[in-house]
Amino acid sequence: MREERFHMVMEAVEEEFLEEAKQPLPKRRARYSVMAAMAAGIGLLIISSFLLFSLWEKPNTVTAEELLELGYSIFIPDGAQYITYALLTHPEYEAKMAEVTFRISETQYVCRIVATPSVDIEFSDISDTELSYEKQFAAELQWCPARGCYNEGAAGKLVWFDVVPGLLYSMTMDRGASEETLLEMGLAVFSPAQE
Amino acid sequence: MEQDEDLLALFRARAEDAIVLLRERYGRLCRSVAAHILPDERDAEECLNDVCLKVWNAIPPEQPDSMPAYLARVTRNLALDRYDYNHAAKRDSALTEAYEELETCLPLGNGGADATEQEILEKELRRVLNAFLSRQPQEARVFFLRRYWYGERIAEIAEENGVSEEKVKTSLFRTRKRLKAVLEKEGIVL
Repeated sequence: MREERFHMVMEAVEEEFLEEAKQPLPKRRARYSVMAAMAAGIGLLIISSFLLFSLWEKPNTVTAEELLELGYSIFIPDGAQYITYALLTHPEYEAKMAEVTFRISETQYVCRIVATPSVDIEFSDISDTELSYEKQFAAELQWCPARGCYNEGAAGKLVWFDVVPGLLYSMTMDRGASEETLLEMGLAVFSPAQE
Repeated sequence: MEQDEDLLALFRARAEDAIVLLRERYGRLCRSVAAHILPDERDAEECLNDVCLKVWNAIPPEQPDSMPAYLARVTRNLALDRYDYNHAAKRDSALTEAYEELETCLPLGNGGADATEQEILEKELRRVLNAFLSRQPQEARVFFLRRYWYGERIAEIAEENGVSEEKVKTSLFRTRKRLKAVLEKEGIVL
């Protein structure tokens, strides 16, 4: 019975995807090699912007369990290193904001969550990055409206809003950004409060 | 597909060279698909013979849009038939592991669908699943199909794509989770 269900799903796959699956994936590193130096520079700028211009107060180090007690949860992808958890405060928000950082290979990720009573579809960007980006896109992350912007192969950010629990999210990466990589990592870290 | 027009022309002309060219061009693909379902090399080789015969009998009249995808599907179905035949003796293939992984994300129905209901379900599943796949990042989609359609092992997918096994596992985990959410949202039960 289990196998029948499995085969029913697999039989439904269209041939274009079957053909694609057997082709080599594009080599990301080669594609982005020209941008590598720029990525490093922009990465430093992002870090500087956090340090110099952040409106958020200095973070208090906490544990994942403490964040969970506040209703904040982020999936940590396999292979992540140098993981930190913190709580920040900001005059615009009553609730405290969670910040989780980690590194995968050479890429630094910063994820943030804050609870908000707002239901405005033009939701706020809580990432605190003020860089100008070459590319922008709108998308859906699961059921959540999302906005992203990035410099191809360099820094980028994704912000999304889960309206029912009233949670704003942001995720920034300091290199290797594209629409695809931002959405992929957004999906990887998104831990819906409903589950 | 344009590049296979010569191959299709040979089949249409009923020229036996069609089988030679088919084996030369796609033998490796077909062997790979069969080998992930049939652990015994002899079974996989016999499966390739079955594929040649099946395609010889099917073209014409069939006119595949994509020869590799068509052959992959024919090979997979024939390998599964042979796998079922050998079922009692051998149950240990990469695909068996894949069943178990994917099982948890397939919403369970009561199994009481009649033929008409089953047809509607399959049509709806096709629509929802392919829309879901088209929305996935290419890498996640490729990992998913290599694992669950082609039955490849995680280490093999990682090596062929130059990524870590952890990355493949994480990607598969996330894709299964998203698929489950979509199937449940769309009310698809199997």
